[in-house]
Amino acid sequence: MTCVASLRPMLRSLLATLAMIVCFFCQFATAQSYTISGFVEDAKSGEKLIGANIYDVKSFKGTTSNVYGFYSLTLPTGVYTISASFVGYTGLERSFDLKNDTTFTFKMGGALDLDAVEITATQSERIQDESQMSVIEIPIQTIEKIPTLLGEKDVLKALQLLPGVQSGSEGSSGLYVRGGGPDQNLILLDGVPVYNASHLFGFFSVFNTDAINSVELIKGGFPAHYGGRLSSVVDIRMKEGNMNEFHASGSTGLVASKLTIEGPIVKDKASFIVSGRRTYIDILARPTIKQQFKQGGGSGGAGYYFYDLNGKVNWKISDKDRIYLSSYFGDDNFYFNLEDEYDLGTSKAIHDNMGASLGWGNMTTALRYNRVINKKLFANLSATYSRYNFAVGQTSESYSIPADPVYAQDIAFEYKSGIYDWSGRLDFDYIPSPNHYIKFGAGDIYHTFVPGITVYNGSTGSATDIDTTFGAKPVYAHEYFAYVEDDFKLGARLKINLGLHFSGFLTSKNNYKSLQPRASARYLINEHLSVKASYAQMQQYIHLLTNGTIGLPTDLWVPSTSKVKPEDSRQVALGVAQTFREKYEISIEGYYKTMSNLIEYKEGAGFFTTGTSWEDQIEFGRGWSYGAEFFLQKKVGKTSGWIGYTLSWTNRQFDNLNFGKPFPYRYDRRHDISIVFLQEINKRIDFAATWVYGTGNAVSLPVEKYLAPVSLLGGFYGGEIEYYENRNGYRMAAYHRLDVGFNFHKEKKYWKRTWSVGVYNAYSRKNPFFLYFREEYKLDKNGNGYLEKQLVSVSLFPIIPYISYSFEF
Amino acid sequence: MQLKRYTIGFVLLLSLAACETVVDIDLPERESKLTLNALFGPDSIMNVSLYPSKEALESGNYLAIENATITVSGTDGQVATTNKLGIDVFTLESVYKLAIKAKAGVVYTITASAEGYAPVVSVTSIPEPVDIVRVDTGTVFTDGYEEGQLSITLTDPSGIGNLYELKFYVLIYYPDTLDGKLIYYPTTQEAYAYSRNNDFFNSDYSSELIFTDELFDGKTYTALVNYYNEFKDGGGDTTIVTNYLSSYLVTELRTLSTDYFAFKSSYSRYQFSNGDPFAQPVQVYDNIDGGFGIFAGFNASHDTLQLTQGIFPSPLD
Repeated sequence: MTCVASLRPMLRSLLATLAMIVCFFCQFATAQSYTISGFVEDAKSGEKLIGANIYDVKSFKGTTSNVYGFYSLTLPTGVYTISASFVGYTGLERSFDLKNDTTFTFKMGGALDLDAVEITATQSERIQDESQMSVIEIPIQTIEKIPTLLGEKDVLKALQLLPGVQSGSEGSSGLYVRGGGPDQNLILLDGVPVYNASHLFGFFSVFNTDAINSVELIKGGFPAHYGGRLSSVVDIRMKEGNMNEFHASGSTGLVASKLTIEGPIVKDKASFIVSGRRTYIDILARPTIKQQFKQGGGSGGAGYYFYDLNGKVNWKISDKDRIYLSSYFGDDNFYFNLEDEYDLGTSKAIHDNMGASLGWGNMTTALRYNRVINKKLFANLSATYSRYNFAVGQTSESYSIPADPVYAQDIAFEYKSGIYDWSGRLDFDYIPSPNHYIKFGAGDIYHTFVPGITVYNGSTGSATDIDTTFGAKPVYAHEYFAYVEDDFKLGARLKINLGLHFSGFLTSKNNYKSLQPRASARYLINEHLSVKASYAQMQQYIHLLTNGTIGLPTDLWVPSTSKVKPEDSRQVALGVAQTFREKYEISIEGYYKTMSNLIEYKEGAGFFTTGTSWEDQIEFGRGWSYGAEFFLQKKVGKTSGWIGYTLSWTNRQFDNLNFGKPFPYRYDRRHDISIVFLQEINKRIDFAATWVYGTGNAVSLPVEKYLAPVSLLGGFYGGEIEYYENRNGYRMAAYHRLDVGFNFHKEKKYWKRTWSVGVYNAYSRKNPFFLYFREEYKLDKNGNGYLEKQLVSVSLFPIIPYISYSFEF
Repeated sequence: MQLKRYTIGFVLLLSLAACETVVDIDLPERESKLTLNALFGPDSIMNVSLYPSKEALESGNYLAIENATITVSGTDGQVATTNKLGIDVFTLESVYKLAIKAKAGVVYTITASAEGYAPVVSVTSIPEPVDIVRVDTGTVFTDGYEEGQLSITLTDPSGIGNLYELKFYVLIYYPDTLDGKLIYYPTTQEAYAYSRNNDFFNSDYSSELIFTDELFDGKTYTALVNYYNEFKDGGGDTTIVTNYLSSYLVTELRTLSTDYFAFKSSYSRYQFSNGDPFAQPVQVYDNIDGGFGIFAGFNASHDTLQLTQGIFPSPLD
């Protein structure tokens, strides 16, 4: 509490400073101006449209709707035709005779035929107009068409198809953005961080696409309202629920089934959406597994499942006030239990009951209150909770029949770790004029880190009962922040976003602070072409101790301490963006990023290294990454998709690794190509194909070997030692893969169904997952046996077909 | 550990569905180098093994290099040279034996040359010994079972940066007669103690008790280790030992050279993670210029504690 009390004066003076800055910008508002404000939403469902463009058709002065669909446009008194446009919707235009402040909500009608968007696509929404660079938004409808592993639509896998984003290893949903690690991505679900976004060791992500409204990836030029991670922001917004009608949709595939229900609680006032997904292989396999146990003489079961459950309620209290409550629950669970009985042969039998489980999962909850304070000022107050935990446990119970305390035993063991966050934040959007869009706000996250504790209790018939807990103590910390930014125009060609993000990390022993400038700018060369530049400084106070090769639930989130300093990065980017023929967008960006205070496991250490404090298992170093990204995309029309190419270098240097010499990062990928092709063949059939190519991951291979000492004196007992000249000095074979899929739609009277079929890895490329050495017994030409050492590449997924059925009504 | 079992199980399950392909790798050709290993203590002769190194994919056994010339010289004037390959009586390894008894404060240089190989050289020394103040025994309950516990007290010299290792032996004197006189045959068997305090000891193996003086530089410190009760009986014929013979616990406190410590801690990390395709590989420390291996030593002090009193007396009674 003392820590919180000491924060208040600092936050108060910071907010006062922010208010003064706001007032400074107020003077730029013209004397006789009025404001049109309101929301942009889907006419049928009432879903808010994020990033819709609202502008005057003559002067092109305009604005965009914020993440809650709110817009505000201040213009001098006069008559205007205001246009609202959003990809996938028929544009709207409306006339205003502006003599006073006006409230108007644009209700956008949908369009199945994306060609219709051509009519309304204008200068204002094109890539060259935005001051921010290194941002890509993928429509959820596109994500749902992309063929994937086992047909399970995946947000993170779709992001891996973008330039500057690497996937790590085969099948993994980890994101490695511009040379950064998987812990350097701020993954937000309705503004709440998600700490482990993977099911089944990274093969699937936790995001159910049926519940999602929008996905945005920011790789650089981070606006000041984001902070806490070095390399990317993945901002995922949930749907709000249909305000007017009940709808349901669902699907069933090879891995899981999904069901989503949404509708009004009070028409046009309050709505809900609930969406769930669960695997069912454990249920299907249960009778077979039970039979197997029975044949072995016992009884029991084993299996694995994961589930996701998203829910949201939104309530429009008035035209100015709104409340949202959204939650996500998700878990993975391996389980095993066995019950057995055996005869001791002395008129006594022993009954054994054993169980084991391995589980991990996330839970997030967000309560948000929006208030339109006045026509130019919008506020959002959020209170959120997020937790990620992991637990592995084992129970064992034995007793004899008839009962004899000598044979009685009851033992339970559980190891658990996790991170728990409570947070609150207040954000303002202030739009004093079309030339300024100001954001400011502040907040605090109260972290509880549990790096790993073991709970053991046991009683045996003949020994003392034990009930003990040991391991790393929880660590508590406040991560506080405040920011201000302004997106403003200087003349007709230059648009700049300038911001400042201040953050700190307070524990019982440390108070780290950081001031992070952010800047991005665009200069319009002509109507279709602009040059962009950005600079961003980022700080990260929490770290992920990860094995890194495959996404494991044992990955541990740990705080900055006296020994472990916060990580920081500086990134500059320069690029050009162009739209041509009103359909194609092309961007070319170059970037250079430096990172410091990075952590890596010591040589030989990893999640299997038990007992030692985590702080003593890591090394500290730095990294740098640079490269160029090319991105060509077509968003509209029957044929759409994109081509992305990245040329990059990513290196690390740690004093105590690789003898202090720089070495390539494991996921240093020189060339990375993604081609996504979407074709609407007719109203009922669409086709999608993706092809990816990447330079092989860097791995460490020994070049020589020698004998270890054999000496009782020294206590060693021989064996070979492999000599690694350079860490990550060898490249696995290149990775490439083709996925294709078809969707067959049919409109029924009251509902619509879709069959999706496709293949993952269509030409069954044996992409390497990991390498290892083995010895194979062979015969030479004289028939003498010898052991030949071979380097073996293990590949995971050959060609895998998928099929799924979905419906909606 | 349960977690390791689950994860390895999962990877094995994946491997069943996975494909394996032999990879043709183009590793640059390497000339074989001399691998020299010599670990030595105070007042014992130096046994030096010499083998060729191999390329990573090379198969076949390692054969000791014959007719090499090994020379060890110390700054105290001691010099020994040999080119005769012998046998280490304990390990049965082929070794070159040099009659140099290592002392603290002396810098030793070893050179080795053999036909067809580039010569190698290394330099090391051993630190001063640190005395054991006291060794006490006790018992403790761990996971419901009774175990023995040893408390080893030492006083660390200030400002030196000492590196330590604890070793334990059970010493039993077997009596016999020769020409009518009573004689004793001492046998020494290494006994295994382990630590539950992994924040203190610098090894992934709980039975490898190496540690630094970082936490107690210049102070008196007591290290705690546990042992199984069978330890007391030397692990041999417990009835004979308990009833008839006296046994002694010999605690050896080694002070390690930095080379020895670096090699031992990196090699134990290497062994721990070897074979794990998901762990970062360990580069094992070596100090042989022009080749591979380790030339390193330690000093030691001892404490002897009687474990059992047998019917037959022992020379230590």
